[in-house]
Amino acid sequence: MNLLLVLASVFCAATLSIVIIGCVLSRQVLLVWYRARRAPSDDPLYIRMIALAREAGLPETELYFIDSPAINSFSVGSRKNGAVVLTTGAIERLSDDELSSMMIHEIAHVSKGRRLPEIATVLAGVLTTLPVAALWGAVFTGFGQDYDPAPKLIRFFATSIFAPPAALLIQIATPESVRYEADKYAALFCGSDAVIRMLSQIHDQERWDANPSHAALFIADPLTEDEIYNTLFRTRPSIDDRIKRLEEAGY
Amino acid sequence: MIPKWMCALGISFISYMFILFVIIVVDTFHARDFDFGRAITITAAYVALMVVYFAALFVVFKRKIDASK
Repeated sequence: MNLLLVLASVFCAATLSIVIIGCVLSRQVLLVWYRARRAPSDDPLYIRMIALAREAGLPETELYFIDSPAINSFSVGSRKNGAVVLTTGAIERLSDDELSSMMIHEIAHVSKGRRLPEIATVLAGVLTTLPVAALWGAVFTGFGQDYDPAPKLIRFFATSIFAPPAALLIQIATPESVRYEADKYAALFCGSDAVIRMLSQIHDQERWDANPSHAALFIADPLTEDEIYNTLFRTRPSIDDRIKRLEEAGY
Repeated sequence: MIPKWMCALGISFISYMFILFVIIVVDTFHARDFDFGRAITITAAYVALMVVYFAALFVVFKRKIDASK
């Protein structure tokens, strides 16, 4: 009974620490998670982003880069300490106006100052990391290699346990209108053509295997539909629908 | 055709039932006897909790995922 009490106490303490860290340091956790590098203050792209934000009357944010060939971006933080994160793939493959529309989209998110989706992302991200921990736990306790059926089955079992509560957290915390709002902002400022071209480029690329809980954070869903549990984390309209809306609105 | 997210919930429900099996096994080893009444009580409480939990999941996912299509 004493052992059970100790285990329960350790579990509660660990959960409480994760919740507190998630609430207080969500911005830093996400930047560290993706190994984001801060752009120097004399970086031409950073200077351009600041000029765009001033012109659009949006808050000035920091700029970070993550090394990935995928075209994608996300933003973290509030109006005071916002940060826009771009993948190196986006910088290399998008034209100037497409990249501007992507940055305005992200700054528009920061300007809303919504911290709840970000906190939910970090907390749910911890839950969706547990199946990976289960996989490696199985590998290191002699169930086989990571490509063998037994560790894969253990990971699938852990996913089936942890994915629903993580997805529930994400779905409750993410407002439905948020994606259209930021698209509209970007289209009003950069023109709907640039936003449509940017979204089309994202649509045509290979999917990126990010943490499913973080999918809601990105400008476009990086997850593949092959994994059955990824569907639980779908929080936004399809890119086709977003493009259709922009075409109809004709900003 | 059943949507993928419903299949995912179905598989999760089965996985949670496996946890029930583990709870009953642990309880039986702890008591060093299989008590049918006790097992039924644990099962009823656990299944009731799971039904409420999965009903909540179903309602939220149906509203949110269907709206995101």
